[in-house]
Amino acid sequence: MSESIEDRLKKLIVETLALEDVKPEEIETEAPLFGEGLGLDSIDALELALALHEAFGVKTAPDDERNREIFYSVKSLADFIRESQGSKTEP
Amino acid sequence: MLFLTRAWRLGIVVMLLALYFAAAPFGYALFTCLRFVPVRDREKRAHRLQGILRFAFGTMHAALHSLRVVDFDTRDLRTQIPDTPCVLVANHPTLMDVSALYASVPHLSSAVKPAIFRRFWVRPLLEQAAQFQGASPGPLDLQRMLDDCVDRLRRGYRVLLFPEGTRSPAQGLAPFGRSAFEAAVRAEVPVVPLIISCTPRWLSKEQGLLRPPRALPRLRLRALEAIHPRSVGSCSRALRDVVTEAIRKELKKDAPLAVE
Repeated sequence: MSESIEDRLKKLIVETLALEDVKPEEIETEAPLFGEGLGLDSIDALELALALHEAFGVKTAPDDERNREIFYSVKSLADFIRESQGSKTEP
Repeated sequence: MLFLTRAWRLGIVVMLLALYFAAAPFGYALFTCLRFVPVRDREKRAHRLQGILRFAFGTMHAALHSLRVVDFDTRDLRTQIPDTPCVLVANHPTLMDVSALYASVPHLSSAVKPAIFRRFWVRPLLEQAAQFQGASPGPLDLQRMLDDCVDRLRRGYRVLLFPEGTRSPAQGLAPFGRSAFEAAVRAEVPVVPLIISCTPRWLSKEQGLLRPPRALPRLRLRALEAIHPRSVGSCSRALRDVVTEAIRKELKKDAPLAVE
């Protein structure tokens, strides 16, 4: 059975941001990634955005007002990836 | 008596605002026209424009000082900031600190709020004076801003950033973002922590332009020793923590009960 996008994202977050004290399975899917949640910051978001582009081929627009929503949690990121990949495959 | 001095300050502020709105359109129009004058050396033009900005803000602060609106002295600051490119990182208790820094520090480049930078009558001046647009919400625009920071540092400018991203709260400091420190790491230049105080507070988030305090506001700026990214293993997170702690410690000395 193939890994879910959520699980792949959790691994990607830990590896990309070199989070030494966090294991992928410890990241809650719906918990906030920034501020009081996992405690990521804007530079982490930048590194994560570049990693997402490489791993999933998706890209957020620089002025995308939705960025805050997209990067809110693993779930919101996974939804964005599904939505972007879905729109790519549509005729 | 205090009421009268406050009324005096308010009167001066209103008069200066009227003067600004009467004169500014001509100034901005002139800078817009200058954009179309071909130049061989863009750095020379940027230095000249920065000189004009420094003179304008310096004159404004000297006038405010003479008119007893703000007591401001930056003599110490000039000798404390290195001549080489560096990232200046400061707390941000008042809007006056921005103009005070522009008045005091040569070759200064800073991130300008996107909403201001995009105004068509201001943009030509800002671009030609080597200023750059602050990051809009979103990671990819942050990459563009970091690139701009590194570009200005490599071109020999000092880059000013307020890592709280907004004016400091009345008590202490807001959490520091990492962009300024990441820029210093990428450009391999030192960070110079600046300590700014304005007592009593004015032009802070709580105390607006038309609500000057009764006592004369004293604006003071000083620089701490530069910290090179190499001293913390070129890690922007560690650099941020060291600088935050240095600024917090100094602010605590100034107002022991105000900084938590």
